[in-house]
Amino acid sequence: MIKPFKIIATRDDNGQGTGVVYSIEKIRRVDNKTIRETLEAYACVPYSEDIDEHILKIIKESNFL
Amino acid sequence: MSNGFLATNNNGQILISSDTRNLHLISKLSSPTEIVYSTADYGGIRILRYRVSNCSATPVPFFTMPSTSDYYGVTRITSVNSSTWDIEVIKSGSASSYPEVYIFADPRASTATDAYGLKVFRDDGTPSFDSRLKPLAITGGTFVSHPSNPKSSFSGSLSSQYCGSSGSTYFAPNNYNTYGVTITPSKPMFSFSSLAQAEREATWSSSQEECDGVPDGYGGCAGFKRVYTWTSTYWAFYRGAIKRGTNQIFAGWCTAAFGCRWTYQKDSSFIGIGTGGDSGSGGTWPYSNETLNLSSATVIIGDASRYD
Repeated sequence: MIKPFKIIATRDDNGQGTGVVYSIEKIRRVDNKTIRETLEAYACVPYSEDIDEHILKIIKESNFL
Repeated sequence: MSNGFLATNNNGQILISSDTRNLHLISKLSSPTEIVYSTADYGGIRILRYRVSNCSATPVPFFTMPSTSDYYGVTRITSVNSSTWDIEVIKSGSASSYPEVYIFADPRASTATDAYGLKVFRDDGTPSFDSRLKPLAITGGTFVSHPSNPKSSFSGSLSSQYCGSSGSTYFAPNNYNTYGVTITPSKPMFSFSSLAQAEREATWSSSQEECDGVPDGYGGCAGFKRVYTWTSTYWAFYRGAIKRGTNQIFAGWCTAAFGCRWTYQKDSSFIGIGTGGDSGSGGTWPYSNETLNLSSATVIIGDASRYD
């Protein structure tokens, strides 16, 4: 999987999942301006789920990309 | 105990003892003394203050839950003076019907006026039970703990510039644990002190590079250019609370506080020679995306109609 995000830190979230701090960046060009946008957020990923796929799902739902 | 008084039920459970103090009704507070804070955002927040007077011992509050859609919890009990206390109750949702709060304390906190009844004393001569003061009768209870994450999934997109969005939808809590419990009274009242706390935050940043010169063909700028950078960190604090069902208790979250902090920076340069400044940051905040005090909390259920 090519990940469009970066995992900054992980830790155990009170035994209920993996706490993940992630960031994602997008760059677009409008007229003569370069616009770079970044989101840094937290998610508690259940142990049973793949961290990358879970974060990607959240990002898709957020309409950030 | 060689001397004293002990009353037990058929299961051997203690009902009255001269060794331990029973709780007795001190006061019923039908409405809050003050609505400290109110908003319909962030899942709805009502912070209510109830003041009880003539209570010379530490109060134990019970509250009704008039709505089965909202979460409730006692978040603070503070002493105003030797016989006056403030009880802070938090409530989610937007319903304007507020809990009734029943204040109980040991019998030293109040004086009965009826001439007849049963009064039990400890060996130090202070009362442990007084039938004239409406002793507390417990009808049920359970232990609850809260899910670590106040919201099952935080998703959405907020403005990076000057905290220009409301985080209301993004941060509104929706996660809970369910506990089956028999709630027999037609007008149940609950004792629950909020213990769990959580904080969640999200940062949106954006930078914009404006070129007044000519593109250098490599994605850069030959001539004057300016770089604007905006950052907005949105955050919310949560307190653990409970919601009632027909025969369930739901352990979920109320938003207790929220806010946002923004930064703005502008840098300029001319053919690669910076005419602006520099900045940096690092380290960690003391409390960031954390959930605390998730240990089991007690919910005690009583029949409020006995004390109306």
